Amino acid sequence: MKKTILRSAALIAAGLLTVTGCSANAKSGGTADGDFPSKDVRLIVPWAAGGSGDLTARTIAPLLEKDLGVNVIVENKPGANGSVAYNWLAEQEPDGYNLAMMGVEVATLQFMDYDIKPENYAPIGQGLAGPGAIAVPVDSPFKTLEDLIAAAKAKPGEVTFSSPGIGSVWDSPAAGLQQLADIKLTSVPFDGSAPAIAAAASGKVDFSIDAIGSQKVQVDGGHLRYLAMLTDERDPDNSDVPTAKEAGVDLQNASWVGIMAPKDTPEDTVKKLSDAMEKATADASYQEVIKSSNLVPTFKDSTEMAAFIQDEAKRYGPWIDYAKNNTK
Amino acid sequence: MITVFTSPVTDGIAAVMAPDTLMIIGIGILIGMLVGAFPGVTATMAVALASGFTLTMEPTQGLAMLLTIYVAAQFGDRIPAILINTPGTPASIATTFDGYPLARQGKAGLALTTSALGSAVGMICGIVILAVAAVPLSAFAMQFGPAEMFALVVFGLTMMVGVSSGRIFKGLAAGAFGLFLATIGRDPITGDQRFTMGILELNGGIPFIPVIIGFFGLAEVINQILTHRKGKGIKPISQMGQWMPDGKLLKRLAKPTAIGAATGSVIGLVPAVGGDIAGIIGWDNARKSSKMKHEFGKGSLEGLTAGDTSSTATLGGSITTTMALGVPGDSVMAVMIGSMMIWGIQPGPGLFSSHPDLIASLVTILLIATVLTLILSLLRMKGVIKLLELPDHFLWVVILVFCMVGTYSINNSVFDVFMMLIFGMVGLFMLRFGFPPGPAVLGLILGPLAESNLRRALLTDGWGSIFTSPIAVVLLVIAVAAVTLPPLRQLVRRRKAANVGKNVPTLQP
Repeated sequence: MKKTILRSAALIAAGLLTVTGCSANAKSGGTADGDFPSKDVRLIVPWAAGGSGDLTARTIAPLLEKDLGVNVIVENKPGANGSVAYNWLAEQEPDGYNLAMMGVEVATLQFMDYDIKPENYAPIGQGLAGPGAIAVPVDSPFKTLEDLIAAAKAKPGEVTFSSPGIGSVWDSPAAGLQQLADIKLTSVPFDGSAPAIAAAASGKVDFSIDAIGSQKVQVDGGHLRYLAMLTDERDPDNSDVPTAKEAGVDLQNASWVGIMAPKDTPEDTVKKLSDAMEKATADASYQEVIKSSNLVPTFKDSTEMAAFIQDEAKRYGPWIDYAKNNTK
Repeated sequence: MITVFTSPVTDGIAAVMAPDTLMIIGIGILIGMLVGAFPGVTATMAVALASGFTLTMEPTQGLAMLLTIYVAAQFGDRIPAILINTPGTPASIATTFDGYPLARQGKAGLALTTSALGSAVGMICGIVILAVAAVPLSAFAMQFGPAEMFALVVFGLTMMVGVSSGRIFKGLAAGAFGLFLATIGRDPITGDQRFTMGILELNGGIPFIPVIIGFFGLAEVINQILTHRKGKGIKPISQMGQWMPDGKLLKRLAKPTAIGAATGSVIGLVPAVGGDIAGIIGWDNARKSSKMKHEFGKGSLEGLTAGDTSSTATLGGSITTTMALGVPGDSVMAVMIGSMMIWGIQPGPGLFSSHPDLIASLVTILLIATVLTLILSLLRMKGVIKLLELPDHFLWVVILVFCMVGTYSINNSVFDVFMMLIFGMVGLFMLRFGFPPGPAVLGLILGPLAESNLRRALLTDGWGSIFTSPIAVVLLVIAVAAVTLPPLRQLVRRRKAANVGKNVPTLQP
């Protein structure tokens, strides 16, 4: 008796799982119509669960639901630097029911031999930014960015920095720094920001180039010191730290997260989604979550975003080429 | 350091003892045990998904939920490892080495209890370390840069000999295969493609969890399907004999438990290295020092205990490095850092001075979760074991479905399922021809770490950065000793025996 119950329970469980597994994979049909949205919207996260991009998706989804009046289902589809999800999105029906989170990789993966073209997508908007900084170990001899540049000029290739990986949002501006200041540095790519920043904090490399917010832990903990901000104007929370521009290197960079749809998504659908996103990013709860992750809630609408992505591609292309040619 | 009556400590404990927090711990245990028992669904994934719901909770409650899931998953994942040879999460790879053979011998009940007890002891050792020495130990962890990581990984690779279960050459061949698989994907430093054959998903490398599910779970099932008519091994495996270890056995297990706890506690402190590697290293350390070496891998309770104690003992160390350094101790902790920042708790060097009650809260949560999970594990043992009484063909179907669905759910990816199937076939080949899967898995996990850290170390300071680091040198010396000493000792012993006469040592009956 007990055996039968157990057996049937196991089978039911297995059955249920198979069914849910399949339904998640079912392709949603439907075309653009006047009354978008009329069914659930899927929001794909191209990264593994747990990072700041994933968190953004999970924070913004309920707010979008409130505005759109349908469910927004968040689903992770990580793999190959996000390109698995980006490729998947490019093949979906352009009806606004399939969306994906995006980062700067949409513009830059093409320079890393991936078949991802920004033209294949219709951007909806930007949700946040993570402006960057250069930070050195607290006992570093470099007191200013000028010191660092002078040292690198004196001994080309001897000054080392840690980055979250070649072609990434933080390795690339380091290429920009080398070009603008006409110096040669040695890049030590790590597997993500956390280990890269930790390596600088423990003095294994000479400096870290990453988001201000990501370096903050080690700065607050007394292991790192900001040397220069990669922002237009001084960071309000660190007003004593000069910008790179003040040190004569006109370099700005920020990581960002946004939402996009496949290209050819009807304009009014994109507009509707973009408006919903604008409201969501202005919501107090969204602002609170993003700010406490040491990121800056920022909104750009679909038109601004399309131009912005093109600009990013133009900026990053030469940087990535430089990095590829100068990494051992 | 900890006086019971100072206010931060009692505050921290009191915050956890609130009824609603205790209720949350209960829910966390249920979720954790479920995800742990389900192959493919890792603790990382469960914690990441739960973190979406805990954002609005009070920090103590949120921490209680996430940490409890983490703890309970460590117990739950032993069950499929022992019963069906499929690790519930990577942390229980070492559990399959001895746990599954034990189950085949009709000792599944004893294996499950021993494993649960070992896991609990490991957990408590880790917690004690967190409570007593979090801050000083985190300073040690900070020393682990690329050079030290490389040396540690080299030491880890010497375990290949140990997990070859006596078939050294086949074991090394399997290890080399694992290392080769590890080179597939993007070059960790230059980002160039290697062996990706135009397959997009391979840019991220060979996914590791599908491989272990294929190697251990699928390969075993297919092997059983192929051989069950041949009269070999068709004896239905059901529970026989004792459930609880007796006094004599417990005494014998004391040493491997201690070895496992020590190994896991140290490895847990190293950032980014978790229970999977610690379990294998703990298992091998216990094997080397055991009087019953020949039992290891064939159903040794000592091996089971050592591996499980070691892999759970990492938890205390992982939490220590995470909280005190702000550097994630393992992938679960990477997710936890994100959640804690939302609650306004910034993990990092300043944490324990700005939140003195936090250590007490953490320790209390972990202790309650461990004790409750242990009790629950022991209670439902008899129900779980009924799974083995299913007729073989039903069991096979259940395992196959679990392997497929579990693999799909990792990344919502059909590619992963294909990989699992392919490596199931590779695993079957290895099983039939006597190649142990352990070394291959070890190569696949450690290969990328060895390569990338060596190259980082070389980029910063050349070979000098390795040979000037005391930690790295000590680890490398241990690694060399681990490979060369056992055969040397054997040689010396044989020589001595030859000198004395024809007294070739034989195994005592």
